[in-house]
Amino acid sequence: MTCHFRRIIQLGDIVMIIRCLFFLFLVNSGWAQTQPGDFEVVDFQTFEKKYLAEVDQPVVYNFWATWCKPCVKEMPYFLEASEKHPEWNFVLVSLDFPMHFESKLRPFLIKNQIEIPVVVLDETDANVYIDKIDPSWQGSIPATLVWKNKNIGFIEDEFDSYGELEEYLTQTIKTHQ
Amino acid sequence: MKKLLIALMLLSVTALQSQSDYDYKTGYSVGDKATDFELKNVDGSMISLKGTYPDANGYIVIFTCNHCPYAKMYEDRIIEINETYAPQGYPVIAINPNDPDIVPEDSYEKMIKRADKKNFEFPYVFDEKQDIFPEYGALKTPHVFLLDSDLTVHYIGAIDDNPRNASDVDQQYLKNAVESMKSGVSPDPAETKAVGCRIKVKS
Repeated sequence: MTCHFRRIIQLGDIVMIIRCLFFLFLVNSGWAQTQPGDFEVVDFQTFEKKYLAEVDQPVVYNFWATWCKPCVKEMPYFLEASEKHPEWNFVLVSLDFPMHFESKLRPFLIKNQIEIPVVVLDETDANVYIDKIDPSWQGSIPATLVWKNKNIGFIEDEFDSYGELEEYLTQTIKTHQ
Repeated sequence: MKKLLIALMLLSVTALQSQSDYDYKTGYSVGDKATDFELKNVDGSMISLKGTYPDANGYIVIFTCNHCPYAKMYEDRIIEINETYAPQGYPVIAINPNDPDIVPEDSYEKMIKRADKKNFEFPYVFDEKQDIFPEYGALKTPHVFLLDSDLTVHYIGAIDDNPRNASDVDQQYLKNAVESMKSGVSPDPAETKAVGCRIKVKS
């Protein structure tokens, strides 16, 4: 897509400009909504560098996998939270196995129309990253990390309701304004 | 604009059921003395550490189950570890801590079938009351606790560093810990972490 700003601005141009700005927003924002079914596969080093970085808005990382029933159960709450709280960013960190990327993960994301970013943490030895996410993490999923330039909250448990998730996030983020 | 886009998202909301919380932080650390137990084995007998193995040099207690993909990936390795270490006086005792009301695949009947199919040579016992795994502080399957003959904990954590592929294992955490314990030195690392399936607790 190219932008033509030199012409006299007409209605069509305004539409074009909005489209251009939207396109730039998508490209520049690391938190762009993705097409359902899209995911990025990273090792922990890349994850740390790219995602555990300086941010303007708090980011909620939910560690999950398609084989993890409680994770799948609580996922609608995260989708609802991302809808109701555009001031927070959400990333689903999948621990699915490479052999299931196409057979399970992608169909799941498409079926559930998941448009928030999905990152697959592809590491064989979780011992190398678990403590770096949070020293209290024992390695079970679901687990949720709230990040705002640092770890401001970590919970190794599932949320039983949308209200419980929202309250946890609101409290955690409020105390780290 | 973002809101508008988000509004287009479709949500799939399923019926939900709550589960009780369990504070894993109360479990054992390396150096603590573990509790013995008396739990029902797949053959119907009752198994305890000191009662069943009075002459053991140590115990490899593994919380595992039928349904978890990680537990399944380690099944053959658990069999092999028992084959190697049980004759040396370090038997494996596998404990299923899950509530079968939540995961039907982890019922006692299904445990019997699984043990039979895989020819488990070690006890596969059921923590039916769910009172043993919280004492140990097991949170997931598989989760290993290596104990010496006095039931002092020497190692807690993963079996090795590669759940997906046994032939690509670089660090044999559990085997190294058993070897260290045999030589009278502290295992290094004495605690490791791995991803696993959260233990399913009765509501």
